[in-house]
Amino acid sequence: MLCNRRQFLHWSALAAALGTLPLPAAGAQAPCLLSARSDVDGRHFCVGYRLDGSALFSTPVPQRCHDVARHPYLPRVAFVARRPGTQVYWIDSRDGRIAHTLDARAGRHFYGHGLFDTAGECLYLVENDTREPGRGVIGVYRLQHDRLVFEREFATHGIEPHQFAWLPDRSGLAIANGGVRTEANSREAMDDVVASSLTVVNLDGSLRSRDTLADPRASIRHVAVADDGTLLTGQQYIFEAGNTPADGYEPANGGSLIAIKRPQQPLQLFPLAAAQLQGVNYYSASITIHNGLRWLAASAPRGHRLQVWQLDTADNLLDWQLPDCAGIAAVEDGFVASSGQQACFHARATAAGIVVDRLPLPAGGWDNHLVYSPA
Amino acid sequence: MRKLLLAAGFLLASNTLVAADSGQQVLAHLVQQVALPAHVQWQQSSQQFYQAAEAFCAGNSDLAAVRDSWRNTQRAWNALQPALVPPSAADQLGLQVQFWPDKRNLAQKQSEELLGKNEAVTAESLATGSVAVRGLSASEYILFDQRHDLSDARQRQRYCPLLQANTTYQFALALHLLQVWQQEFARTLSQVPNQHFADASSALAELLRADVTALDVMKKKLGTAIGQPGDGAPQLYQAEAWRSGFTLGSLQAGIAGSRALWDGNGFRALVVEKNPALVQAMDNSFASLQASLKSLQQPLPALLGNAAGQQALKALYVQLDVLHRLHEKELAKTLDVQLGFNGTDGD
Repeated sequence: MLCNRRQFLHWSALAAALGTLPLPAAGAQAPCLLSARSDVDGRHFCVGYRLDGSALFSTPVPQRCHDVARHPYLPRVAFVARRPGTQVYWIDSRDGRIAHTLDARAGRHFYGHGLFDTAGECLYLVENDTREPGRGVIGVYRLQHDRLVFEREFATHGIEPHQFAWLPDRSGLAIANGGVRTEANSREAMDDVVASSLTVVNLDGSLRSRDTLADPRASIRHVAVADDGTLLTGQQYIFEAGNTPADGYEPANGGSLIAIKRPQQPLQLFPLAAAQLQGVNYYSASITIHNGLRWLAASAPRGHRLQVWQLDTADNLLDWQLPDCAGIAAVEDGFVASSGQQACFHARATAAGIVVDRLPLPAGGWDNHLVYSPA
Repeated sequence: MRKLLLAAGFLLASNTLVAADSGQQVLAHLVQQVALPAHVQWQQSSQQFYQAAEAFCAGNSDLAAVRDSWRNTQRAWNALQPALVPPSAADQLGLQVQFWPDKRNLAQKQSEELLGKNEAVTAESLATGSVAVRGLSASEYILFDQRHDLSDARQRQRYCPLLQANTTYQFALALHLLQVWQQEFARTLSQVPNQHFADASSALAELLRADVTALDVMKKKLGTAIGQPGDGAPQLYQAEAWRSGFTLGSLQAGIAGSRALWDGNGFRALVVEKNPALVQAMDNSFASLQASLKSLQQPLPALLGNAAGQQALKALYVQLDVLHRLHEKELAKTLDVQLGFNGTDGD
């Protein structure tokens, strides 16, 4: 295919940046699942498994990772350490070799999530400014000679950013700011405040929009973006000691595990039954959209459930018990869900509804996010 | 190098340290001989409690008899906890049966509010109302609270509708759970592989998780009451079953339930050759804890009232802590079971 001058310059620059990095041979890699895992001894791994259960790689790493950023076309994936981790493992997805370890800059730690841009030039990472604890920043790291090199950073306009996602046109990022301040070396909250928000930030760092939820205990921690620009967030309620639902605390507006921001509209609660929120212990982990099916899936590791809804009607399509349900990845015909304690499952659309099958993948130890890499 | 990495991966993947045959046998034993009978026991005691409440409210039996029935049900409920693997998300019982910790004395406040409304109270209305007026906690308030005397006919007339609604509600709950176990879940849990459980190890892991969770809750209940860990102030009114004086009896039942999962052909059989030191430690831990519980001749409030009693309770807490940690750390590790992960330590 011919390309115009601008595209030619882009590809030329990228080739130089990548240095001698080998490009993948077509069809060299089967579809696989990428995730962080840990074993019962507390050792941490970055893993890639084919859906038939065979391991592509299982690489031991010093820090527990959380999410995985896949390079758009190179056989490289970035496993990001969870808070207050300070490393990103740049891994060859064909054999698990660590090509490069990115260390956090002074005064920063990672929050477990990262994204590549479409061109594959830069990795974006959410970070904590530990000199002003909780102040969220996005660090931008350029890929140069198979290494990630800090280029710039901009604010998330919120406290404790967690998951973030590209807008469909790649003009900006939707960022879930959890709202809990933590110090440099700790996962413990510094105070009882939850100042959570959903921000949309342009790539020059300017703020496009900022939404909050009415409930002061709702921490917006995960976000997914549908093809039409609809944003979905997953909440974790963080109650004060002595003021929990068991003590009589009632979440604002009945509370919800999920919130939705349709284009040009404010963030509002996704209409779920109040009992569902109680049933999942006020805690969601992963949320994932299947654009083809217009389905939304959420994992609830404290309620031990995988749930699926129709995105436009909010009809509940599946409420599947899966202990310590963790990561969810959209696959061609539905979702694959992992577990911190149990087997992984495949929930697929059929004419008769959703059918759930156990996958021949190893059980337990899967972290909260799962990334599907098609062939 | 690659071989090394893959070897590490296979170690991670091998959730089958338990030999398949012994795992299947132990699983069958735990489901059929321990968990299922514990559910039967809870259902039967709930039925007897319901019948006792009916008889008492009809004037056909005395208060002592219905109180005995409450204790039996409380005992069965606590003994069930270590084997309480819920068949589905909808069957998470927890607060539906017991409201703990009741930090604001809601069992009393909300029961009185409900009775003050002069509205009909039924098992159905309880099912949709506050958890504080449901189950064993509310029944205990009605039967044991010192501020009213159910031997008085007028008092009985006031409290009986709520007592009867509660015993009906709980009987229905216990019966439903038992039916689910008998008709389906016992098979799902014990006849592996199936759609839910890949192998015996996965199903055994569920039972061990329930056991460890139950021991953790027992520890929290005792610890809150006696101000442990850390020499805090005792909080007698946050103890489980303080009104009935059955705090330590409840703990005793819970420990017996946990021991049933360990002894004989239970978890013990899976580790007896692999980790004899652990077996010795577990046997000793159960034996010493149960002996200590047996030797405590007085109820909790009396023990908290003197220095020797307080010391004995602290020692009991330490023993319970040891037993919990042996399960949570050593036994789980030996069986290669991942206990809490994302749900307790996620992001």
